[in-house]
Amino acid sequence: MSAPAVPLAERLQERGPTDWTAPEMQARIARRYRGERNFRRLGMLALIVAASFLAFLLFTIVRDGWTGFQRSEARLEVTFDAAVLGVDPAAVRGPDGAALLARADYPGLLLKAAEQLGPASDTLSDAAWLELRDALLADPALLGKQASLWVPVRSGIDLLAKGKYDLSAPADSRGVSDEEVADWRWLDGQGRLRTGFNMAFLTGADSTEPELAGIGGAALGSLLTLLITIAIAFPLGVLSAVWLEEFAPRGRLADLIELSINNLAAVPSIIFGLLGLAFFLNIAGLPRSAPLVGGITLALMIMPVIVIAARVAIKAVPPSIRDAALGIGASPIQVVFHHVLPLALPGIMTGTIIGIARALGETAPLLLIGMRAFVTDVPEGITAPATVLPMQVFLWSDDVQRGFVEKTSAAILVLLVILIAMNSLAIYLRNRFERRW
Amino acid sequence: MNQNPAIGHNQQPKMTARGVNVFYGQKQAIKDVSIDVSSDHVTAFIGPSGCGKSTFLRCLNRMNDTVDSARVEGRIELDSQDIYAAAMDVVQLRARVGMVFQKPNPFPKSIYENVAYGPRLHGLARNKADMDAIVESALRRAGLWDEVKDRLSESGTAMSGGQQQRLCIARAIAVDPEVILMDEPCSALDPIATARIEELIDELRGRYAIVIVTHNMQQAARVSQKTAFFHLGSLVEYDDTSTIFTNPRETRTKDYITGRYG
Repeated sequence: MSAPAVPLAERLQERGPTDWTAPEMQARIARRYRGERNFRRLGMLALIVAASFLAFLLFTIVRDGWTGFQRSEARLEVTFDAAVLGVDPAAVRGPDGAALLARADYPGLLLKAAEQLGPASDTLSDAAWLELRDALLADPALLGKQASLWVPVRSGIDLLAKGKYDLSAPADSRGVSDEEVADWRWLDGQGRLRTGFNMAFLTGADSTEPELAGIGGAALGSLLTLLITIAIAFPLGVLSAVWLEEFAPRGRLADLIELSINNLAAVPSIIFGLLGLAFFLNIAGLPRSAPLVGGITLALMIMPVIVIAARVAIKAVPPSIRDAALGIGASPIQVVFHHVLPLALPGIMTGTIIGIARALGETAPLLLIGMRAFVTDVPEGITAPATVLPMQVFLWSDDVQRGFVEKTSAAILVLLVILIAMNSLAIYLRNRFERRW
Repeated sequence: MNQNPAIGHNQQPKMTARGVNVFYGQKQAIKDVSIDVSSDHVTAFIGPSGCGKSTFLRCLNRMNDTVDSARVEGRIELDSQDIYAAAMDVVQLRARVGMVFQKPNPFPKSIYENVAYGPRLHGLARNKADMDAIVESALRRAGLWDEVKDRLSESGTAMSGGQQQRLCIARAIAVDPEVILMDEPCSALDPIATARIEELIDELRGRYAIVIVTHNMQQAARVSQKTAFFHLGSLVEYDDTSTIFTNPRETRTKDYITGRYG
């Protein structure tokens, strides 16, 4: 193929000036505008679809979950009779009075007090006696006197009070017995029933009874676990990133390390759980179900995320700042600690918080190290058995009792609120400390 | 350290380079450059883009150490001390041979902290009053004091480009260096700010050995007493500025000065 021998200027002359009014030119312009409009519409549509999924999720969770923060209680006139409690009034006023009161027979007292409920005497929660104990311990002067107390009722009555059953359905398919419905109607008719905010849900730990189960234990377990995770993953991740970015010799080894870190960030989290089980529990002999092991395992999982975020943040610090500091005689370490890290910190923090948020929502690796344990106490330390928020959601969602449905959604709400708070903090930190050059 | 502290007509050059070659990987950027830099003068390095003048400047305080692939051969001395010797402390070298960069690069900290950073690094101030004095005198010498004395706690990055560059000069002279290297210090500034920096360079002359890299031949003619013309990594001609600009020895120099290429 040889080029035509006509000179360029002549060829251009043959073409003539561009005719912007020609129909094919107009059509091309119209097509371009149409394409742009369609693309914008498509983007809007995608956003609407995504937003409606999110709205649907939030709507169902809030609808099912908000009653989880409430519980129904029955009013009971309790006479703190020393004889029924099996304590000596004289001894109670003595030095060991409080210990004596704490050991008294409250279940017996509750049984006696429940008689006033007549047909509905068996509607009180198994642990309702704890309310009697707490009332008397708070005010020992009540001994021998009568008081009006609100005590929790069984989950079935609680759900009836919240209107969770369809009473028009036939008895065998509505999930609640006629007897319970009658008890509830009687209590309600007597004005002895109220539904109020359930503080015990926020402060308590897990229980086999839905009306007694709380999210506090799992929340504290999550907090302890995350503290361990941050304490390990943040310094390790940041130091790794600093070394890789500022000091590592460029070459095959650095490439290999970078590849490994990127791969590690994509490893399924359950693998980290297996590692935790094999190494921390079986070889190192650390305690099972404990926030300590959970924290270390999650730290391994989010460390690559922190390393990657920190490297990006460090890379974003302009080289001119490093030059400036080196130019007046700062050593490379001083350059890092005086200039690079402070300037990269907002980015590092953002990455860390996103990593932590991921760790907060993680269940799979914790299953394997025994954090799906049924723990009825708020954990006392990092080596005590504990569970975490998403694990509590999982455990409750698996429970056959109807009362746990609302608890599951309520626990999800607690988890979501904490996640939103953490992400808001990440955005705040980024905006607050971001520097413009 | 200073073997010849007398300010005035030094016989001995402040810095000497002999047979310097610089390589970036396989590529040779500087070819056999030998030059003397005197304390009394402002020395200008001129030459077309990519001729190696900045590379050579960065050898004088070992800023090229930060480039992995860079390799420097030959001998560069500061007061007859080999700066590439194993015994030479790079941190101390850079305190003695300060640098001002092409783009103003103040730290995103307060004006005061920008100037105080170097003295603090090298422990030059015994107390707060000492440091205040160092900061004030550095800002005064950089001709910035009257403009910023009431807002020392404001950010250094919030100032105008010309002020930022003078702040960088103040930062460099706060550690009391013997040599100041300036790598095209005015290329990012407007003509008025440029004139201000040029005046400043003139005021600093004699107190510090100043080496300035510039693209701008008029600037070299205005501020320097000695001029070195670089081309393709070689030092073509080095002489008094007046000689270089009026009666160059080499035709290549003449062609560049008269704008034939560049």
